[in-house]
Amino acid sequence: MKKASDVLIGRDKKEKRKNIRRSYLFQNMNKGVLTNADMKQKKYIVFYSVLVLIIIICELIVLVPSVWMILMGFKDSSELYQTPVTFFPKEINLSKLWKLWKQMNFIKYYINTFIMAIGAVAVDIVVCGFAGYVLSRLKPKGSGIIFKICFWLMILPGTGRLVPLYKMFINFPIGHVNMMNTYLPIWIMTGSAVFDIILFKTTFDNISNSLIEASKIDGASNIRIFFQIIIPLGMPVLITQGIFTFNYQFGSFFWPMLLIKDQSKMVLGLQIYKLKDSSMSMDFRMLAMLFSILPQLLVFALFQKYIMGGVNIGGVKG
Amino acid sequence: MIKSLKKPAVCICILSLLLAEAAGCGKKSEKNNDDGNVTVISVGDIPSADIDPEANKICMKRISDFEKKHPEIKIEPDTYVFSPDTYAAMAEAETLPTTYHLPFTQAKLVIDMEYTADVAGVLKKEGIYEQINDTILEKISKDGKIYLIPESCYDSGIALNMKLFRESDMVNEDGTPKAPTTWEELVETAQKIKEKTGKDGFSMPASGWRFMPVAWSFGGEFLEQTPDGKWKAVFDSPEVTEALQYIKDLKWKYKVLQENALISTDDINQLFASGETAMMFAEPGQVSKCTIYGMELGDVGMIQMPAGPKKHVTLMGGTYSAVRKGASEKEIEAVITWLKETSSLGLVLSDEVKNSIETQTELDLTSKNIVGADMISPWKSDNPVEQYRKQLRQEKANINLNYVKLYNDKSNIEFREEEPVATNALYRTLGDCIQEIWTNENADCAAVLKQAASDFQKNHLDNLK
Amino acid sequence: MKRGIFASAVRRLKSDSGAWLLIIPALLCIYFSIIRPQLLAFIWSFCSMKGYTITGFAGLDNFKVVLTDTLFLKTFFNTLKYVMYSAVIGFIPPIIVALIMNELIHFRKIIRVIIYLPSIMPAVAVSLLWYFMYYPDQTGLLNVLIIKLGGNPYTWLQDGRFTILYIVVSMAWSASGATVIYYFSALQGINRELYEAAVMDGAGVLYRLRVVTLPYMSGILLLFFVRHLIGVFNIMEQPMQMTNGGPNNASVTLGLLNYRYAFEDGHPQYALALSVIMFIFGLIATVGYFRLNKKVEENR
Repeated sequence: MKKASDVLIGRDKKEKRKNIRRSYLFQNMNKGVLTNADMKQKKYIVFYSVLVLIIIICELIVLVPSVWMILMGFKDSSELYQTPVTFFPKEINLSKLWKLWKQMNFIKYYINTFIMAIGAVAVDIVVCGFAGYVLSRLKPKGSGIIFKICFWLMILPGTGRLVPLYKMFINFPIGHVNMMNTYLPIWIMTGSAVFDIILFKTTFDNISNSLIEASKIDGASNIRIFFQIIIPLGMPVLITQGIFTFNYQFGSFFWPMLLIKDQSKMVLGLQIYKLKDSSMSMDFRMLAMLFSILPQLLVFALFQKYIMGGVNIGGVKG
Repeated sequence: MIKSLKKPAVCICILSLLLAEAAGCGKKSEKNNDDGNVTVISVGDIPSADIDPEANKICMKRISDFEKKHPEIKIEPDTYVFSPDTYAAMAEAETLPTTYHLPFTQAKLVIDMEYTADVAGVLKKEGIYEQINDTILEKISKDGKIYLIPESCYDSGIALNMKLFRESDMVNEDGTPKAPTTWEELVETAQKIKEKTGKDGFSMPASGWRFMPVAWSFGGEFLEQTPDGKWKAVFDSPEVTEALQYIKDLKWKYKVLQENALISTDDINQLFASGETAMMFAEPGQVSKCTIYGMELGDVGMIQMPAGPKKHVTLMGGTYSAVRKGASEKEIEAVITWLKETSSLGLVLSDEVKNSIETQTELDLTSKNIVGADMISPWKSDNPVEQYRKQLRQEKANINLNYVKLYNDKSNIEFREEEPVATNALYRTLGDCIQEIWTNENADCAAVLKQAASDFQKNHLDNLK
Repeated sequence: MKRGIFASAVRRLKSDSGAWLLIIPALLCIYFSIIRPQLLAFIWSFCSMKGYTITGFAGLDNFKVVLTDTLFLKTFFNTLKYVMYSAVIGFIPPIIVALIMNELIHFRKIIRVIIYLPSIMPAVAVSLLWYFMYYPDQTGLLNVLIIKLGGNPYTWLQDGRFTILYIVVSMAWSASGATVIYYFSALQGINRELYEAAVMDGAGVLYRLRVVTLPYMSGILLLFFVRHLIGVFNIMEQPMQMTNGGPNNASVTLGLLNYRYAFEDGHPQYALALSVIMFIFGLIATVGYFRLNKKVEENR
């Protein structure tokens, strides 16, 4: 692409400077439908501004209630429910945070929950990722029906399964293992996330065949192709799914409630859920929830840059 | 194409069936909690050390004291609290604690499913059996077996936010609230408060459970058993209609009710605690929950259920202790020993029982549960333990006793139990009726009830086996 | 002849063994956590039960009870209403937002983090938010707005005609963020050179969307659409928290009915029968998916 300034020789200075500014402003536009060239036209600048406006409105719709919810923790109980509802608390008392942090032993729960959630992410990426890869690329005979079965299983409502499933985890058919007080059942259930398998399959379907063929000719094994080509190219979706699995498990309480009795294995989501039967006042509960969303937010903020499809393995024309 | 798919599909089906079969034949691993002479039992409802550190400390001390006295029993604390979503699964898999608490409303379901152990033998041996109140005994036994152990019992009344009562001069000179004794007076009181403070006079959720005592007091009945053992829905009677009309008038005619017809009990607690509503149907346990929403204990008042034109009646509720299905005789005995020293099961006024009552009161004070509003005894009356308990709790009360005087006077009120079949479905059906009349000003109570009764008969009562 | 087929199958299996090895962990997980318990549940739906213990064979009795429940038809149409409302309110906005986000150059990171916020908000806080939002007297947040604009307080969730719509809006608020991120991540996977090639051909913005973006996204959009519909078809939690099916069952769903059978009334066999019925509806719906998916795959 030519630099904007090159085109502008012979125009008057003011116009030139304006265009340079424009091209600087939009120089990072590399992923969307709009190209750098478009942004030199006035109508596209207006169009872009409209898009920005829409996004700002959406952000406000999302942000204002969220901030309000976060601020709720700093109000005292009676202030929480008074009408008319207030937005800002009377005072932000950070010592409340400290007091709760000391009382609730969050570190222990963070570690446990982290183990459970990271395990789930690993299972999700490897087990479901492999399955998606097989269904999308290797396509052994019979994989079509497996894809269909996966799809049908996705439609099944889960309510009826709860009791037989739980009984099975307590007394596993292979070797009569009792999985009480372990995170194994949660990982096994993550491995059966049929939606993730289908999602990965759909994503991998979009990866251009030429690279894979090239590696095959080089004699690369299936696993090597998976890790060297499929994973980097499918990165945005894989990372997204990984983050979501992590966050889902970080907040989950239902299966931990059934499985975890040992206090030393207790996870955060369950501990937060158990607040409902305690005498802890509402404002402290809200703050405790803040502690449970912070790691999730952090993980998202840290890893979201990988959602950006920076990894374009060069040389492949579509 | 289809042919090529058939084979793997058939293979998968056969394989899974085989595996499922094999799993079914598998022997269950026997859990063995009898470690020589020591019986290990796990006890639910123990507060978590990280959430309620003080309450946990009291409970742990109780446990260690108990273990010192009974070296043959070991107690494992468990934070399990009954929750309807997980109960069936845990009961089926026998992963519940050896003993845990269960609300009255669940009793019927649990007994029908036989999710708890039969404790009749041990209760008889310990002489507890004869002491159980007859109405309750009927509730917890089936075919000569006893599935639950009474723990505590309460009667529904009306809770008053005394801050609003004081603001509208509704307090007598002797310190008791100027409280309604009939449904008409309830309306008058509510109107006065609304006039003076602008807050809602009365709040109730659209709940069939709350509607029961109102309808009873108007002379209504809900279910009837015919001689052949079948059940009939009879709540389309004029009496129940009249009661429903009263509930409707609260909203549309007298305008003293909260605006939200879909409000949940928790939301009502919030309104009550923050002084947005002056009165609500409640039990001591529910009022205790208001403290988490910032209720000042000094502002708590309670009165009896108002009397209706036909009867003065209220609904009984409470808590049972249960023993896990599959518990051994030894475990059941250990549980009873534990309960005798830590709950209302201690029926002889010994030092241990006195000590236990004190600890329980201390625990309630720590957890900001209200102390001073009397429960009713699940045991036959004239029990010295109950009197001791009552007296001690009056002494240690954390609420203004004048404000609950009218609640604690339990003479001349009839206690009634829940309907015996399809209870939850009945509450839901009635709740729907209430929602209908609260959201539709022109709804006809008689027609609404008639439709509901016929649907209920068809959907639930006719399917009873 | 027969032996020939058999031998070729074995040969095929051998050459595919690498592939089967990779998919077997997933198949085992699926077998143990879905197929096996579901088979038991399926058998139970034809039995009369005491709790979860079979007491006898009931044939189609359970299905009869569920289908003749006076609430069933109403609930079914309610559920369809949820599905239809949310196909518009819940499905389309995330696509638009993701497309716009994909164009943005400025503050991209912070915009993404904010969009994602509602997805991690704890359920209790969210339900409190909507409680205040839809409160029907003049203190409800939306009513405050209406009064400021000169209107009268509105009853919101109590207006049985639109209760489902309002629940769907709250669902969309909570769930859209995550969906936006999914779409966005898929959009990020589009090969930049495709756009450039289109530009070379002189394609305008809309044309580029149609020729490059749409074909690339169609597989994922279709998948999310189906998942969205299925998710809403089975929905239970949100109506339970916001209205518990009220007013007078105006917002009750099949999922909620299922929950009531299983957990409130203690009749798991009815719940299981209802699950089977819901599954059949789902199956019918997905016939359409496979047909469309085939088209998408052919277009690639």
